[in-house]
Amino acid sequence: MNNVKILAISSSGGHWIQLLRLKKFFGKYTTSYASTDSSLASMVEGSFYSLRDASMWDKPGLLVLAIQVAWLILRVRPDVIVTTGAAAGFFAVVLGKIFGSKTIWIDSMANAEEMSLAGRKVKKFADVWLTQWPELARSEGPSFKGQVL
Amino acid sequence: MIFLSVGTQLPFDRMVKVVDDWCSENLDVEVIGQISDASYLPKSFKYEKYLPAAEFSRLYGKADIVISHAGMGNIITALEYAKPIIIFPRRFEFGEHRNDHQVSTVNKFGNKSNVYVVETLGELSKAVVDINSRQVSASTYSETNKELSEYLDERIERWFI
Repeated sequence: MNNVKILAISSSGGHWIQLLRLKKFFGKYTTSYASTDSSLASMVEGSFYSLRDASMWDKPGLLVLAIQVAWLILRVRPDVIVTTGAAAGFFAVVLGKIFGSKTIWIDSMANAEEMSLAGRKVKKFADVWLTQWPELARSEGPSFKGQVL
Repeated sequence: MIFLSVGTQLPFDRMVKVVDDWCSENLDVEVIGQISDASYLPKSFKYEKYLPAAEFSRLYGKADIVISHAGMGNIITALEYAKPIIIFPRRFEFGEHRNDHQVSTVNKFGNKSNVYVVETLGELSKAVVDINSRQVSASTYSETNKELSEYLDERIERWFI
């Protein structure tokens, strides 16, 4: 079971804190972590990859981030990608799906009234597409399966 | 010690100013702030624009109270450390964020026992007094976290085993 390779990836800040709430779950598998602030390596055991930070409004930054994420996926070859967003997670799900990983999008709890922009865009590429608020769940997705709280 | 954080992305001058005003009346309380690229610089407390993760965690852990924008990271960390947290919502109308999602966040989390929502100096003073007069409850992982982890385990099992 624990030779399933997971890539746990998100932007820094709240997305990352939410991702790490699943540490116990990640601990059962062979998990690599990636985020957009190199100092976050101190918060996890095992491999950590640092990425450039970029918001959804920074086009050149997004391009660099996308290339870094593509390279990371080709190197790590994860069976499963799990992300809580935002831009870094978006690229991981899109590119991961293309490269053959199973992909899991968990929308941030900060989005209590509608799915995030990245969350909406990522739908087609996510094998599992989740909101953390039951009110936002729909039969056609996203589903609600719990919160990281 | 009180630790203030505006989060990783954006400055939050309105909050920093209210806390600075509070500090000028409470000079005996040590406040340390992480304020991002602020244009308003505090006069009555120490601050850094950015803190590396290890230093951020150290200050967060040491603090008696955390004052923060209403971002999920700091709120969840407060629940994790069982730490009282005072949150200010960023408002779209003041250009503090791209939309009003932090207003929904305070509506969702404002009723939790260690979470205080404030926007004015008066509310801040009252929250600090309330916190100092209370016992703090223990940190937990909720049932809902277990549900999510179990669901993800099931999916992985179905895919690979």
